[in-house]
Amino acid sequence: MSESWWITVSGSSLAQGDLLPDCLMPVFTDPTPRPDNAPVEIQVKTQRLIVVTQSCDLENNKIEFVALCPIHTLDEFAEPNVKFKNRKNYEGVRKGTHHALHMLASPEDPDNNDRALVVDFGQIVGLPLSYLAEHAGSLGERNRLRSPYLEHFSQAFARFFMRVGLPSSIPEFK
Amino acid sequence: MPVVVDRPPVHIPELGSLYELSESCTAASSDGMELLRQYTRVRSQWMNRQGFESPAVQDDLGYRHVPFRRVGTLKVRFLPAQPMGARSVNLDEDDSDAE
Repeated sequence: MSESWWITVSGSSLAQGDLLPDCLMPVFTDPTPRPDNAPVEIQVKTQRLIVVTQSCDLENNKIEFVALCPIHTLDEFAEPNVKFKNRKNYEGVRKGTHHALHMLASPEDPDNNDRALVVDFGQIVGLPLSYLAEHAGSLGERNRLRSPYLEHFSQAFARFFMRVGLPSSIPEFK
Repeated sequence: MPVVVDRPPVHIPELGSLYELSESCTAASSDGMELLRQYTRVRSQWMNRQGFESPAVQDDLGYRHVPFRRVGTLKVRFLPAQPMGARSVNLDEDDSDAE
């Protein structure tokens, strides 16, 4: 049996790799103030997120906002991405060939690839540290990615974020 | 009372820049707001025009993001606010590698 990629933690202390279900976020679609300063309605959405901010920045309260990315079950991700309804198409994600996606083993069943999770680096959410700490504290026992899977995840995020697109490329060798 | 709309400048060849427009909004208050709404609408049409192609660098992620689930709405009022300002940085500490 494979070892677990996660440890169980509780409390409001946050670290990189913390999995936080049911995070709330306001979404400003029309942030224009009304001339009479009437109330403006904004949507509130929810998502399961994983922390990508470095742990040392979180520990020392160096920052006010935390960077997080959505993390989905395979079925959730396949909903808008029909080709992933065929599980074989997740093989590239598992191997790390899709730079914006990163696969993590299930916290409950690491040997079952059907229950793996997919992180979407293509969407980065920033939420206040104070909100997330309180939310984390209210969750009770929760999952935190552990070393060396944490560093592997962090490196994948860095690789995605630091990529450079070129306006032209050297022709392909055929 | 003048209405200040603080947005980054967006240059559209046919329309000038949003920064210039927000300057005029500041001066013209409610007329300016109407102008801004019209401008936003036109800008949106322009960005979604047929045949529009993104710049030469192609960075298609090749998949769709899973939509965030909507759980409700909040009603907010805009209050006069100061810019966030820079955070306090300890240069000695920030020289060290993060983790």
